[in-house]
Amino acid sequence: MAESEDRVRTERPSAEGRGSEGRSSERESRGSDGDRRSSDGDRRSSDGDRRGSDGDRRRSFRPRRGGPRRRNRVCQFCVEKVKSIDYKSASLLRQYINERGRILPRRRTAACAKHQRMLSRAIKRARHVALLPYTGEHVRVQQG
Amino acid sequence: MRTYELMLIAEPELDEEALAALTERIQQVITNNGGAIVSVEQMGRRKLAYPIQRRREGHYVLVHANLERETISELERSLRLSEDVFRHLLVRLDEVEEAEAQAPAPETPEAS
Repeated sequence: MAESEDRVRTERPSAEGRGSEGRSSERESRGSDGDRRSSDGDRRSSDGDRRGSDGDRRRSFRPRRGGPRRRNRVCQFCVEKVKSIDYKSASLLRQYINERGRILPRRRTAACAKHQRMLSRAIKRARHVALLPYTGEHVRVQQG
Repeated sequence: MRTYELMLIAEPELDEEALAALTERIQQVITNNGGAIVSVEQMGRRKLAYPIQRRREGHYVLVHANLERETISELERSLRLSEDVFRHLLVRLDEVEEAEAQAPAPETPEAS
């Protein structure tokens, strides 16, 4: 059957391409997406990641067989019709940084490009006025 | 003339009086240079998310004002020179926000 061939073809680059980048934590948290992106992974380097997945989505008309289903994700900011994101709302912004203080990528925030931009700008402003950390607490402690 | 939001962080050791004097000085700088104060809000003494030159806390003050371009440069200059203010952020309030603030008011009949 075509199904088994398909799986083999898409899964092999996944193991190589993703593994060499050393982004193990992402792979754990979003294991289901790894397969989808992997077919592009060997052609493009890491920065082509996002565009690659987009193109992939448009091209694949065949229903996906096997593996966890990709659900349609809608930007929550769009749902709530958010016009602007305030840098002063630290508790809200805190949800969009990880424990090391880094801004979560779009694949984790599920925000659209526009809102991700607003989000990252707000986070950067909040950092400047010390409402949010630039680094995680435990990272600093080790440095002295 | 555009509306801007200024957030400044002042020395934690300042007492009420000194803080009032500081905000008064800032307001003077704005009004003396062709700006207009919209609102001033003391956000109180807060813990900083990370230490800034050994300081772990700071007094946060939030000022909304209508400023001209020349006013901004003068305001920024005086903020940098001020020893009581160790961090500030001046951002333009977007047209989106302004429209949002103005638009809903006339639409609701109960607002009168």
